[in-house]
Amino acid sequence: MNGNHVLLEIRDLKKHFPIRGGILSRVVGSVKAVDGVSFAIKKGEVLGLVGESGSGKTTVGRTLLRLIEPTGGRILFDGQDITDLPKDKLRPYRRRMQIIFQDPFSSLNPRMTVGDIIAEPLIIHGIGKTPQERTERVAELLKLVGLSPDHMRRYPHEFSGGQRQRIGIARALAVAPDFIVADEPVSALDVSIQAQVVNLLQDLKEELGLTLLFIAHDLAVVEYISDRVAVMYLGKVMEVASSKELYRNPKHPYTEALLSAVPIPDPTVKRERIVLQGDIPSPINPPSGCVFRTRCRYALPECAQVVPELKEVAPGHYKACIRDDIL
Amino acid sequence: MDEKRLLEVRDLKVHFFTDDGVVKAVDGVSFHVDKGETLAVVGESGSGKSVTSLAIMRLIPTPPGRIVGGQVLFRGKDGQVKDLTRLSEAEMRRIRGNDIAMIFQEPMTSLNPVYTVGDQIAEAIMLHQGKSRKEAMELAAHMLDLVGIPEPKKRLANYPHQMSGGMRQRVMIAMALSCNPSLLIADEPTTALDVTIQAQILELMKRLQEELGMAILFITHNLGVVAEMADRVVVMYAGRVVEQADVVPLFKDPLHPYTRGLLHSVPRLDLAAERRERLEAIPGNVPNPLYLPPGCAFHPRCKHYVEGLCDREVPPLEDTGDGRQVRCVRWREIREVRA
Ligand SMILES: Nc1ncnc2c1ncn2[C@@H]1O[C@H](COP(=O)(O)OP(=O)(O)OP(=O)(O)O)[C@@H](O)[C@H]1O
Ligand SMILES: Nc1ncnc2c1ncn2[C@@H]1O[C@H](COP(=O)(O)OP(=O)(O)O)[C@@H](O)[C@H]1O
Ligand code: SF4
Ligand code: SF4
Ligand SMILES: [Mg+2]
Ligand SMILES: [Mg+2]
Repeated sequence: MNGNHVLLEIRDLKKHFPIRGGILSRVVGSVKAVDGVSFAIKKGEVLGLVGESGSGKTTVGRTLLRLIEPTGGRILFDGQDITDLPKDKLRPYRRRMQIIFQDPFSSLNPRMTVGDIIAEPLIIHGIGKTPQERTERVAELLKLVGLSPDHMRRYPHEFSGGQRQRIGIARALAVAPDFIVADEPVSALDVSIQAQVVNLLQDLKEELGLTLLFIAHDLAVVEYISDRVAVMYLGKVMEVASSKELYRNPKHPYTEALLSAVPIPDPTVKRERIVLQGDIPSPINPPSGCVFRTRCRYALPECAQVVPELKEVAPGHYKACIRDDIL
Repeated sequence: MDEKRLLEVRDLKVHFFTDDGVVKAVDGVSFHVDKGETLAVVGESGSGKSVTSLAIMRLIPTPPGRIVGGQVLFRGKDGQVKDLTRLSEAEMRRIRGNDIAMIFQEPMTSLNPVYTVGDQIAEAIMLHQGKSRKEAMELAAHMLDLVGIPEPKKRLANYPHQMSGGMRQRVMIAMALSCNPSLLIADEPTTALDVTIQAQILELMKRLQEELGMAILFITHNLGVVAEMADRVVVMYAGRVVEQADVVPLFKDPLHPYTRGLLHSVPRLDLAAERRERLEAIPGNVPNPLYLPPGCAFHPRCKHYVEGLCDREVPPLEDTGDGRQVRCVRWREIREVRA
């Protein structure tokens, strides 16, 4: 790790998707997919982002890369505010920030060879002047992710899910980024293959000094790979802490319930489980005040009145909950 | 068949005859389920879990698939044991409604989007129990209440798309249990759900089993879910059973190298932070079912592989003497070395 240098920071990031209706397609409401999210990731650090489906994890990842435009808030990369940078000025930052997608089956163009898929970002960013230089780089990348340079001429359908995910990782690494958003990179893989990819990401992180935003809904995987973890619910961050702290000592009622819901692969471990009632409310009409209050077992009438701020409750440990007398 | 036995699958073979060749999706699978117990079937994608359960229900798409061998012995509510592979379609339909019910991963695909959930549950009840529409609707409401759906009478009028994923899975369970089956086959019933909703459904299934006493054949790839739900476990790899044991000994002392590999490759939340060693991944890939490795299908990925020993013949599924079974020629040595 490189001291305390912050590589990426988002401040009060918002993304609201308009909902259109009626014959005139007027905007009749909005999906508050991300609603005021702030965090910072230090150079060389892995920040895990967990939450149930629809909580806004993917939208955070895509918005901070400016693959989709934010509705509000700021994005800072390596000290530079990139929120409003025009395309041409954004390009050098684009190279330094890459993404790995969840679905290794749909994220690779089936009509391109593996070599062309990995070389594409090199061409876009003008890296490797000659085809030969690029081929050498592709061969090097394939070896880096545990594949063989011979695989260059083959097509994605000839590979298994885990191998395709390696190809996706090689593509993201092609332009030597310093920051990668990994959006559920192992969720679609078989159990025995997940561990291969998690280990690979960890090795690459060490070797190349990468900084990662690791998005997943599998808490055990996130705990395993992350230095710190942020927990999202309905477009907001509920809790942030070091991985160790969060899992040992959750301070937010949602984190507590989420952790207790994960089945432990050991039949001799018996735990008391907190079963959350009901479903996640719609992000179109989130509850007033604390968005978790409709399922929270500690909720008080005041919880409907104020939106809890994310505040530090122990060194480096933040939670968005008005009650300090619990957990 | 033993008195307490409900289902006994013997040397089941289901093959798919495709343009690319014969896929031996299930190739000599044997296991049993006792009355009221939960048997988990665990294995990776393509290992043959769903095909096994579809074959029990006689729902294999033919062509391309066909049950090419084996028996599926099942004890009906009348106490009689029948081989389901030999029943007529009409007899099988009676079994499906009354004795064995099935729920799937994605409830949306098995619920009809154009009918209300009330109509669908009532339809199943009328068909199998010969009740009037009014009685069937009352029972449907009772079932929704049983599976924890609030305001069940109102919910009867909902269409599936008006419900969340967790709610739809509850409806599926209500429908499956409405005819009081003695066996419920659940094929990845919580895989598409979020963990907090998964927890609700698992609690629900446990409660219903206690109240109604049915046996559950629980198919999953999630070892946490296995540990939580199962009395006994069958591990499948490439169309075969590779290990069978009670849940506690299986997790404590896995005998097959594949089972061991699986258990070591998942990070454990409860050991978080204390033990942060590298995950022990199983090398290589899940084999292509058209080109299964000769001998033990796991041998290209196995660290105990011995040339000439493991790659000649398919190892037999051996009884270990303590109620367990394992399909590995070296299980004794491997166990001794570890002890
Ligand atoms: N209709 C079909 N035609 C051809 N092959 C099939 C068909 N259905 C299943 N198979 C093959 O049978 C094998 C076993 O499939 P099955 O669906 O039982 O796997 P599974 O263990 O349930 O996997 P998953 O965890 O992905 O659900 C696979 O190789 C699959 O490709
Ligand atoms: N392009 C879009 N248009 C409208 N709503 C969207 C769009 N993308 C995402 N959403 C909504 O935003 C919310 C958050 O989605 P997402 O970021 O994909 O969540 P996650 O990755 O945590 O599952 C969800 O309610 C989702 O339906
Ligand atoms: S603010 Fe209130 S409702 Fe929200 S998590 Fe805290 S106690 Fe629960
Ligand atoms: S038979 Fe050989 S290759 Fe197969 S699991 Fe046993 S030791 Fe490994
Ligand atoms: Mg997502
Ligand atoms: Mg299946």
